[in-house]
Amino acid sequence: MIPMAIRGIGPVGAFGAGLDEWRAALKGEKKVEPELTTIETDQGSYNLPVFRAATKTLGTIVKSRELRRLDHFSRLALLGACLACEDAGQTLISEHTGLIVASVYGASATTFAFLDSFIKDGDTLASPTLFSNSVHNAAAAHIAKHLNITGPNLSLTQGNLSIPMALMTAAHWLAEGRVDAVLCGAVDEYCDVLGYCWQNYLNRQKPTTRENLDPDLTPCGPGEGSLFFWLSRAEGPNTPYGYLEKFEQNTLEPTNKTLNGAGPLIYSPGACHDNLNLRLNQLNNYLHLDLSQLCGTLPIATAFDLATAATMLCDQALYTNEPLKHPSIPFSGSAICCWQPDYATSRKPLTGNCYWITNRLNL
Amino acid sequence: MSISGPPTMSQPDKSVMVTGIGALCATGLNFESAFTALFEKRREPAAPQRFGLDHPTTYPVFELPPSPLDSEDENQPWLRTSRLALAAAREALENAGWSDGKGLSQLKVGVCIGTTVGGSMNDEQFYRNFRDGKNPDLKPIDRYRRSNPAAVLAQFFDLHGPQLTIVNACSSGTDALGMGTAWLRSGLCDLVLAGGSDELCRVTCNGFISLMISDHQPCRPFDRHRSGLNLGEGAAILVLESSRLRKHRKRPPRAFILGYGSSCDAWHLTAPHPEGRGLRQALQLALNNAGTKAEDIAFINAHGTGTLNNDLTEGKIIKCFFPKTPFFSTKGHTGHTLGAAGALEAAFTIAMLQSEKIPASAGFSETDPAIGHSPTSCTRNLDGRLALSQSLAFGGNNAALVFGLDGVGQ
Repeated sequence: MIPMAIRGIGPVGAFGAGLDEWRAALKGEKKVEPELTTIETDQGSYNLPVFRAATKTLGTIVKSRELRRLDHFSRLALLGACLACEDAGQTLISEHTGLIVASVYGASATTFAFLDSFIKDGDTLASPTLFSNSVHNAAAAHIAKHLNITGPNLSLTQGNLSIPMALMTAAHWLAEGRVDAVLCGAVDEYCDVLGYCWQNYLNRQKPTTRENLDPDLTPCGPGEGSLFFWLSRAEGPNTPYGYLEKFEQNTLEPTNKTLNGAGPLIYSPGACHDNLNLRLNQLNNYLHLDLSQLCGTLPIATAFDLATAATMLCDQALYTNEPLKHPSIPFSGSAICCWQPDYATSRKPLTGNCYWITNRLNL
Repeated sequence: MSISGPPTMSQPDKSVMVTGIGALCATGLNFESAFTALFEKRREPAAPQRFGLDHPTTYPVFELPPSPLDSEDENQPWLRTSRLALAAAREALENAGWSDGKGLSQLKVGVCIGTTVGGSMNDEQFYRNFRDGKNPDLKPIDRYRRSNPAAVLAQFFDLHGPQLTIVNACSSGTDALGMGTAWLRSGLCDLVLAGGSDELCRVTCNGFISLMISDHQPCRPFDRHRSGLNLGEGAAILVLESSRLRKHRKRPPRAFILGYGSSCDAWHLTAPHPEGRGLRQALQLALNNAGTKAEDIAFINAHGTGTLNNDLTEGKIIKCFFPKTPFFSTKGHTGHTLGAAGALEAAFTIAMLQSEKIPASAGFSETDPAIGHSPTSCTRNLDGRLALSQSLAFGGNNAALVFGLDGVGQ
């Protein structure tokens, strides 16, 4: 993979929208409160904390007329994409710009709303607007239309590998010369079905009551959001966010010399509900950062890990919500490593995807 | 998965070989029978047999012929879409001389699959139970979560390269082949299983009917009186190999992927750009990528869905840029197989180049004056060695592939 310069970041989540609000949340200056949603399961009903993301800010960027038929999923994606463009200072987009949108579940709320439309009223009253927005690449189409991105346009879904595959594709396009820049991001939304599944999966893994779950191992609630990067080849002006130098799959162990040489490590234990059986005490040598307290657990959390690493490099500070006792530690290193466990491709504990972000190349 | 080494255009291995094809669709449960049927007049779309629809009008679909793949046993490990992909992949590997994928686990083998239904969490019965407060079992969700088509193939054949499921609507299969080509050219993979797969389901049928682009008759691509598409289902997987790998093997390739181009109209969610802006761009990129020009293309396997908008835009572009090149749509035989369509049509394109003949465009009988250009109306012999297969998609995506019987420099 060729190194890619990160030139703009557009985060959207329960913490707000844009890098300033993300930074404030990382520093502990902004408290993020989940909403309580009632979930019914065969073990009774209870309130589930859900980290919902608002898209009101989009109204200041896009004309309300253009937003009329956009569902929440596409609004999340469009807002993240617009913020990344703005952060990168991109006002004029050429046909040599590509767009990649990764999502694990797609527009799930809209998909089930479409099912509602014909379950409730009969097949003849299925909603065309809901169907259109439920198609997996609808968000990419809305972004392309609004930002006039006429280059290659790709929507993908690959479980926990969605982010690495999006980044790998961006690197390929840039290396081939197919594009000069890629707006590359990820989006997932919350819906009640996912909440129901989330809770049931938790109960399945720990056949006890929720109260008995180890709080260190229990994600704090499902979330939603989007995060986009403006990426280009490494040459050109320096970028404050650094360069995505490489990613690969490896095994994370305290004695792993490769990782030890890479500088601080961001590891988000609550980023994915598949991780519950990880033992954090094996990771004491590394910086822990539980982003789930800021955006909930969501399958595209890797994108937030990467954005956090880039922000830390930019700010030359390590933010650690451990938990928010010492929100910022000065940092003068040149590389940060993000690591996320991946159970989709390996059942061995502590195998996962590893990403290096550096603020200078050729380390 | 370990990704390293710079994939640059300065050292491309441009000769991406297609060494095996597997496919199934309404015209047949294996590629040979599916292909042969394109040259027959018979086509019989009918009301779906595996599920019911409650509309006053019957909208015919092109379902797969009955087979063991139809089992709806709740213990099936994967969704039908992934089972179709697996059936096609097994046939493709056999065809390429890699029976059951033996020997592949030692190589860098990637999987890139296009789909629409296969990427959607929309189990209707589960959701009905959820709505009714019945606390449904999570089995359907588990099945969905482990049915990612690329992951299923990688797991089944014990493959360790990149795996990617593309959900670009109707151009997904074409894009998957384009992406697989890029992986081989960059040296990321030695071999790629690439293609598309999609099953028919009630949710999708209701969606297309709600958009009022489904025809209640057998579809008529490019015909003056066309009035919509018929959905279909199927899968097509191509085995792509690098020339480096193929040097060590005796069997000659079936064809080569020479060029790929893609673009977005950035215009409308459900309608193509009226002047075909994006399609033109994708075609130009594909031809440039292949190092060829429009006049060298022997035929075009068009997207040709049978909808008013698609065929008008596509027909006008073909008339403008390929005025003498024969073109046709195979959807009159297969229906619109969505994420599988681009791959299925790519497979047919290769077989047509090899057999030196192209079929009549099924369903066409009268030229549309708004297009002013007509697809093939009978089987024709060929003498060219290059062909195009193109896809236009929901959301304004466009993708095109150039195939040839000769590799670069041959």
